[in-house]
Amino acid sequence: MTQIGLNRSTAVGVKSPRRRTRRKEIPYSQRVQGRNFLWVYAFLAPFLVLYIGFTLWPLLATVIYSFFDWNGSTPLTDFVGLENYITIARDQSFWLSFWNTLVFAALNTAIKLPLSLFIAILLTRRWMWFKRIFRTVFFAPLVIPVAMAGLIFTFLMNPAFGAINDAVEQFGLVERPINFLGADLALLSLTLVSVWQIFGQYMIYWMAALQNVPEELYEAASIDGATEWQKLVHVTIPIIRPVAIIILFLSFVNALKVFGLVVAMTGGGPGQTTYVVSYFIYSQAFQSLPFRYGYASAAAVLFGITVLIAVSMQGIFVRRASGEGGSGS
Amino acid sequence: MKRLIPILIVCLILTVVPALGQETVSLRVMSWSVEQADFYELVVAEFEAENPGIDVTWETLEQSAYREALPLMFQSDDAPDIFFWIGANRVLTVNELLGQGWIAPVAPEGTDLTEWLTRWPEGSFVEGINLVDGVPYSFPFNDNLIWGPGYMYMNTTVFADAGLDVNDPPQTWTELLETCRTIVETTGVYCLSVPLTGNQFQRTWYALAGTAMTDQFFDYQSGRFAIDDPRLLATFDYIQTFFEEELAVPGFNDQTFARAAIANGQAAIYMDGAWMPSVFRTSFEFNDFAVAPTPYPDEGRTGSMAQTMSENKFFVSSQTEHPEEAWLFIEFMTRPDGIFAQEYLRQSFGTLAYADNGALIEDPVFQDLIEIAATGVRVMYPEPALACPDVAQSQAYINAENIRRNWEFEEMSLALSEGREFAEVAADIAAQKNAMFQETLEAEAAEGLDISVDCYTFADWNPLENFDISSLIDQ
Repeated sequence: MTQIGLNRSTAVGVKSPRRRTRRKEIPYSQRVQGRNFLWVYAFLAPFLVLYIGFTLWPLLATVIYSFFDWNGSTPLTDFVGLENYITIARDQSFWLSFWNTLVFAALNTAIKLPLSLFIAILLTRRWMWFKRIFRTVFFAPLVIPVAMAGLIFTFLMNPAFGAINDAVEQFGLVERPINFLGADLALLSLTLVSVWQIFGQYMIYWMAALQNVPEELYEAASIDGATEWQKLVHVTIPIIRPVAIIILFLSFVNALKVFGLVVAMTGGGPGQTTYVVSYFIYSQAFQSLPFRYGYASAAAVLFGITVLIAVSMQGIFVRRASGEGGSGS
Repeated sequence: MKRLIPILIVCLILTVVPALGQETVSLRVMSWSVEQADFYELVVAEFEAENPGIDVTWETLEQSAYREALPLMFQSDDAPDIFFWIGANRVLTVNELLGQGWIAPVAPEGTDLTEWLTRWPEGSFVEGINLVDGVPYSFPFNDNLIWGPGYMYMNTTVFADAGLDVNDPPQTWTELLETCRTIVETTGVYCLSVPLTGNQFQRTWYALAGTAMTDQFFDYQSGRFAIDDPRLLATFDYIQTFFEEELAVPGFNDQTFARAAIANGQAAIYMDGAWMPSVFRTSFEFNDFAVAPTPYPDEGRTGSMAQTMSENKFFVSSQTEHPEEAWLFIEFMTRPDGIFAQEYLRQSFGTLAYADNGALIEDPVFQDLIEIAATGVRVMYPEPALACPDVAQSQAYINAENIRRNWEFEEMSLALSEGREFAEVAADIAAQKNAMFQETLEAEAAEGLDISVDCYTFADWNPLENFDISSLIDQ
C-alpha cells in the first residue's frame, strides 16, 4: 500500500507548531479613559441587559425554584431544600427520559456527522456538478418548522397509509408494514427524522471547515498516489480536527435539547419509550394542575449540569486537538 | 380665518369632552376553542352594542399552547379578565384555581344574583364545587349529560359500501366485532380508528369502559384505583382484539390522524365526545357521518360514564381590574335565550347547562346525541368532596395521580401498539396508586383533616343509576 509522504506533523504544520505567547500588558496610553470609557459601557449596556434578563436571571431563577415546592403563580414560600432532587433521584420516568435523551443525542450525532461530512466533501470537490442545487436541497428541510416536519413524517411512516411503507413493500423489502413509531423503532425513527431535518446545517459547518484545507496538500497527495480515502484520513481529518471537535460537541449538545419532534410525533410514547428530558420537564411543568414548577426546575438543573459537562469537555478536547494542551503538539 | 377658529374650537370641545367623560373599559376574554373564533366575534359585537363603554377582545389559542400561555400570563400579571380552564380534577377545578390564586367571584360583592342562579337546574351550585362560602366562583357551562365522551361516529359511505346501514348500528361488543369484520372483508377499509399518542387513547377507552364499568380509573364502590378490575381488563382485551385481527388502523397515531382516517374514508368508526360534529365539519369539512350509542358488553350494560359536576369552565381572573364589566359579560353570555346560547347551540359547538338544548339545537346529529344521552349512558357519580368537605384540601388523589401522569393510558397504548399483555402492568399501577393514596390519606388524617378512604367509598351505589347527590348536600 502506497504511503503518502505526509506525516501528522507536516499536516498540522501548516500552522505554527507552538504559538504560546505571553499576554502583553496594554500600555496606559491605549487604555480606555474618560468619556470613551462611558461609551464602551453605553454600547455594551443593551447586550448586558438582555443577557442578564434573558439568560443569567432565568438560569439563576431555575436554580432557586428547584428548592421550592412551587406551582408557578403563588408566592415562593414553600422551601423544601433538596426534596425535589431526592424525589427526582427516585423517579424512574426521569432517568428513563435521561437515558433516552443520551441515546438520541449519541445516535443522532453518530449518524448526522459522518453523513454531513461525506456530503460536504462531495460538494467541495471540483468535479462535482450542480453543487448549488444540492446544497439548497440538503439545506431546505432546516427551514421547515419542527411541528410540520413531525406531522409530515407521522403520515409518511404510518403502517397503513404511509408512503414509506408503501415503497418498501412494493420493492419487496418487507412482507408486513413496519411500525416505525412502535416501541422498538420509535426512538430510532425520531433520530432519523431529526437527522434529515438538521444535517444540512452541519453540512454547511463541514464545508466551512473544509475550506481551511489547502488545495496544494491534495495535489501533493495525488502526486504521491494517495487514494481519496487516504486523502480524507491523512490530509483532511487531521487539519479539520479542532473544528471537527467543536462541531461534534455542538451537534451532541443541540441533540440533547430534542423536544419538538417528540411532541409532534410520539408524545413520549409508546408508553414512555420516547420520553426525553425536555418532554419530561414540559409534562411536569405544564400538562395538568397542580403545576410542579419546582420539581420541573430541579429536573432542568440536573439536565443543565449534564449539558454543562459536555460543553466543558469540548474546550478540553479542542485544546488537545489544536496542540495547545500538551501531548498533541 | 377669524370665523373658522371658533368653529374649530367648538368642534374640538364636542369631540373631546364626551370622550373624556366616557372612558372605554377594555375586557379580555380567553379560551382555547380556536374554531369558534367567528362565533366569539359575533357575541362580542352584540355585547358591545348593548354596553357601549366596554370594549371586549376574545382571544383564542390552540389548547396546548393555551395551557402553557395562561400560567405565564398570570405570572407576569397579564392575565385575561375572564378565562376558560379545565383542571386536572375537573370537579375540583375551582379549588385548584383558588389554590393557584387565579380566580375571583364571578360577580362583585353585593351583586343580586337571585335571578341569575335560577338559570340553572336546581342543585347546580354546590359548596366546594363552584361555591365558596356561598359565593359563586364559576357556573356550569356545558351540560353534563349530553356533553362528554362516549359516542360512536360512523362514516356513512364506508358503511354503505360494506352493505351496512348506519341506522342499524351494532349494539353489543360482539355485534361491533362482527360489523368490523364485515367492513374489512368487503371494503378493505379499516374499521376502528383509535388514537394512541399521550393520553388520547381516552377517546376510545372512555366510550367502551363506560359501558362495562366506569370511564374513571377509580372505583367509587370500593374506594380504590381500579385499572386492575376484571371489567376494565376485559374492556382492554376487547379493544386489543381489534388490533390483533387488524380491524383497527395500525400505527401509533394521534387524534388528528385518527379523526382524519374516518373523515377520509380510511376507517369506518371513531369513538369520541359530543364535540365531534363541530370538529368534523370545521376541521375536516366532513359531513358524511352518523352517530350511535357505544356498543355494550354482550351480557348488557354493567357500568356508566360519569355525569359529574365538572362543567365549571369560565372564571373571572383575580387580576382583573374590571370585575363589574366582567360580571356584565358573564351575565350576558349566560342568558338562556341570549345570542350566546342561541348561536352556540345553532352552530353545534356543544350543549349548555343553562339553555333549552332540545329547543335551540337544529343539527340532526346533535338531536341524535341528545337522544343517546337520554338513554342513561351517563349517570350522576358520587362526589367525595360533598361527603367529606376536607377532600377539597386533600392531596391524596392528586399524589396518586402524580406518581406518573397518564400512566394507565400510556401503558395501555404501549400494550396495544406492541400486542403485549396488560394485566400484570395494570396490577402494578393499581397497587402503587392505592398505596400512595392510602399513605397520603393517613398522613393527612394524622395532621387533622377529617378524611379517610370512607370519603371515597359508596358501596351501596348502583353504577347504572344516578347517585343521589342531594343526600350528601343535605348532610
